[in-house]
Amino acid sequence: MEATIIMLEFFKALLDPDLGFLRNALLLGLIGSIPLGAVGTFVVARRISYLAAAIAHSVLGGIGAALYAREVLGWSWLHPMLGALLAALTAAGVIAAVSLRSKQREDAIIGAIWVTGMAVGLLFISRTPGYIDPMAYLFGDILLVTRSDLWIATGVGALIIAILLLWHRQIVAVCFDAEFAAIRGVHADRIYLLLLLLTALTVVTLVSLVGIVLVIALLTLPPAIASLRARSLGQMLICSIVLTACFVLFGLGLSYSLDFPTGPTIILLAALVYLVANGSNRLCAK
Amino acid sequence: MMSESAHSDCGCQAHSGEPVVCFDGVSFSYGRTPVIEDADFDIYQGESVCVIGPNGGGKSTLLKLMLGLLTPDQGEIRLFGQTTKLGRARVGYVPQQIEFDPLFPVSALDVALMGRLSKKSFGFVSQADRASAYEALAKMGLADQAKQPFASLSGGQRQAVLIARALVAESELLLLDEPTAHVDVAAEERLMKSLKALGDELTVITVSHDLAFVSRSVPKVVCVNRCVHLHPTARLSEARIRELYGHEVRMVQHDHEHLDSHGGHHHHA
Repeated sequence: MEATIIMLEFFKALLDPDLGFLRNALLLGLIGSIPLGAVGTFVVARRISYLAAAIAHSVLGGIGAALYAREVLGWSWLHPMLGALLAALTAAGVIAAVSLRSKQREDAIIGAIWVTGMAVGLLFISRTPGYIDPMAYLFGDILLVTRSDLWIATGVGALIIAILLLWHRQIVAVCFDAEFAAIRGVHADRIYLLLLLLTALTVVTLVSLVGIVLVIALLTLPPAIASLRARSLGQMLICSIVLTACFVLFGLGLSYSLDFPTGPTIILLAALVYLVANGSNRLCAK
Repeated sequence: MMSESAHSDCGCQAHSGEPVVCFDGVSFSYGRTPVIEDADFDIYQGESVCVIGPNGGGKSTLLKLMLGLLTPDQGEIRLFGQTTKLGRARVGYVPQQIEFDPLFPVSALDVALMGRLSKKSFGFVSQADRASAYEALAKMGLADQAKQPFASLSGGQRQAVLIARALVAESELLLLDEPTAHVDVAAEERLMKSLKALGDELTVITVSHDLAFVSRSVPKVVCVNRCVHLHPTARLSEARIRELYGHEVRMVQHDHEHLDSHGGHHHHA
């Protein structure tokens, strides 16, 4: 009953002309849930959440550098999200190279890339005049969501879906058995790199809404929940998209009504549902 | 075929056309450990060849070299007259086992469909691909299991799916790494029947531990224990096997089946 009232209040607020930021945030979340659920499915199925987290964290380096370049070098055309995109794609390339080629300890190197990206970002931010709160980028701030974020997210999302529609068979085959895919003539290493680049693009689309740290939870929790019941990758993918959209909608509603920060509310909601789903799945299995 | 090549250990008898597989002075080592030394043999279209040798002798390595999954230190390998990376698209490969993630949500049909893959596979699976994957699964006795999760199948059923995956590729060369290791006798017979049904054009190379299987199914053997020799099965003498396996030859005899110099096998009750 109370939940209905909260959501009704939220829907009323969405129609309020003074609360445009709320509409932007919801739209970004709903648009973003499509690439997030789709790419997240592959990330979870292939068990590369750790790599996705490293890519997401190194995004701060790009954001920091872009903010610095705008203020100090006067590159006003450099949107922080563009910096984030470049950093994420670079990190994905480096991580793919390390993960495919390195004879060293892969996890240690990826941990290092993760932190190096953050350190670079914090250094740039500290040298940028004016006060910038890194927390907004780490954990999200719906006031940061602008119209241009929506356009970027729509464009990037469409690109991700187009790539997945074309290459999903090859991606699935490489994730399941890279050796056999290679024998069939698929460029397994390139497809793996493609998956990491898609992860980078996906992470960037939702950084302003939920932040660098929390976007990983939104990328991995819905597919993890979906995988408890899904019998195929297709089912898992569709279920993940629906779940992500629900978490964004209800998380945003809750955070508006209870005056909670949005990113953490969405993530806690997802984590709670995961716990309940996992628990009930175990009970059913007994 | 056995008699015509009886004089030769390297299989370079008169054959029309290019060999399907050609090893030319191939050596390979893992680090400093030599695994294959100076392998030199050809396998021609329609031949059925068995690869035997002791554990760690390099049998699987030989297949991986053929598939271009490993690169030789010396020498050259050609598949259908092309480099291994180009030629392997015409090869169906059944690994001994695959390392797979049991939580990865794919059905038996999805796995079989991967045999239809090429680097030009864009978009969704066609009806024709789906039909041939169904047909291959049915041939392996898995028509009813097509929609089941791959991980939920038994070891033997999984191997049958992997064989189906190789069959749907409509390959000209089939590489089977211990295809009968996890399957029961009925499944083995089904496999042999479906291989025969594929016709004389198909070249089949099978890695096997089972010397009885070798003697009754294939006319030629590749013996691998660092050195590689291609013989007609008829010339696989007991002395040759002892040399190849060392002490393990006794184990084979304890199984009540061993090869004699005439290429047959005895049953000791």
